Amino acid sequence: MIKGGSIEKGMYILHKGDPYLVAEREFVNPGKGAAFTRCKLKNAKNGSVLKETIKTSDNVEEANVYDRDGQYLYADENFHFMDIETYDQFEIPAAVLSETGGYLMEGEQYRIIMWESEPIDVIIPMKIVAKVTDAPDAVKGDTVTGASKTVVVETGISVQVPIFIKTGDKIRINTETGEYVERVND
Amino acid sequence: MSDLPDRISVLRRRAGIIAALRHFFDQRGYLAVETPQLCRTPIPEAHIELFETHRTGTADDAGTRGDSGTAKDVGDTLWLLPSPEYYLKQLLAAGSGNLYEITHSFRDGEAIGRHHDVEFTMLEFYTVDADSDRSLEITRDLLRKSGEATPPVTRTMQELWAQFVGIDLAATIHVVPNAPLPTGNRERLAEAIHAAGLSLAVSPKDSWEDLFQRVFLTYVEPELPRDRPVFVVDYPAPVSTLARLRPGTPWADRWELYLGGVEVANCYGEETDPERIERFFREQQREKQLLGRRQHPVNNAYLSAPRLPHCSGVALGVDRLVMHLLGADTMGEVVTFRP
Repeated sequence: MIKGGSIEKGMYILHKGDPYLVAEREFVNPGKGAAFTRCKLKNAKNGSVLKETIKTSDNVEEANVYDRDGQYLYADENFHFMDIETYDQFEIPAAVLSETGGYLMEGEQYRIIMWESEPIDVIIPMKIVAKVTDAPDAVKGDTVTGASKTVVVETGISVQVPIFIKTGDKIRINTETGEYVERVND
Repeated sequence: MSDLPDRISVLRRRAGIIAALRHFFDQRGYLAVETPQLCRTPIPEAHIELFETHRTGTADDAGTRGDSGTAKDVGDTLWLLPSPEYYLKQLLAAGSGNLYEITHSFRDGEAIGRHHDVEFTMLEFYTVDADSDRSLEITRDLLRKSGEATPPVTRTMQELWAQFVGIDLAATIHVVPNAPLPTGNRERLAEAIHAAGLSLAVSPKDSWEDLFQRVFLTYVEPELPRDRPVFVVDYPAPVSTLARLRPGTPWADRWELYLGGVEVANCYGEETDPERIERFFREQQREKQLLGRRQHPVNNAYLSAPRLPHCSGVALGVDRLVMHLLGADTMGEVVTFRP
């Protein structure tokens, strides 16, 4: 048990029996009365998001999570992984990885967050390098400074990039914001 | 603090805003006062944690204050003031008439963040023969004179709950004729939360007030308009404060002002009934016990002072007002230093 005032962003807590990731956390001290922790919680089993406010002095149960390593294999309606020691395959529902799934690279190894033997989340790096698989040609005569276009990278997601990026280029992407950082030269 | 040189120009603008606040009250004949920032009998509010300090010194210096200073004062405990409220109310009771103070206030145990620090600047002003409606008009003028161009809107708590959570808040409050205080119906509010389909986890331990605060902070406060000042009026009477009640209604004579979605000021039509004031003090002492907080000496000087005149008081966070007017993101941008 921890106190509501000790909730941190990134922590997993139990809420009505389910594990939730604390996606946002803010302390509020109303002009009068007790202090509260206002949070946005993401259900680690189905990805649904809810808002909750907890008294800083109330007890909160932490979800007992642990890590395991897994290699990302492929995605269909779910994301499929393999334990590299036991070769056991397991899957994570797409809704849970709605924000991060687009940054997973096939064949790469990730830390998987587990709760009661169920995989509930994947830790992805802050930045990834991905190859551009589909880039439209820059429109001729478009010389506006800061002009951008949308390209698709090998993981399947779309990214806004400067117009000089071509198919086959490698680019660095910030996985928190989804933004293009720079072109990477091999 | 490499941005200090850049902040000097902001500090000039801050000084201009504070000068405008002072000018506003000086022009209207409010008495400007300076009350101590240390006290021996802090305000009773159970949820406010205080910074404590201890006086050193020798027994000889006791009694030299020329008033009630005695040897027992030496080595005693003092607290940094969390609000000048009780000093100001003693002045009001003594016949000061309208008055104001801009002072530093100190609160321990509250999270330091973009809009809050352990030390902050507070404007508190009291208007005699006024209720919170009159204070609202004055505050609206004050906002305009201090540079807020957008006219404010006024919304009742009842309307806000109906709009954002679909709950009839008044229906969860019992108003019993001749009872000292309307009481919250905890079961009815818990049922309404369930019926409204809110995901809030209701625990059997939650009181009516806990549920009221949690719903308000989760679903209502974050939805308040940010493009104009908002006065949230008619706070529920069961939330225990020193605000007068609006007789025969579930509401207290209280409002709060939000600027850009941030709570900036709190106003009461002040309770003047000595019995109710004493009951509030006792309740807060009991609450402190329940919370396992340290008990502080009760402010007898305040409790035994002559009856407070009919008046209304506003406490306004000056740093937050300046942040809003200058479009600052954090308090650090508008103060000289953060402690």
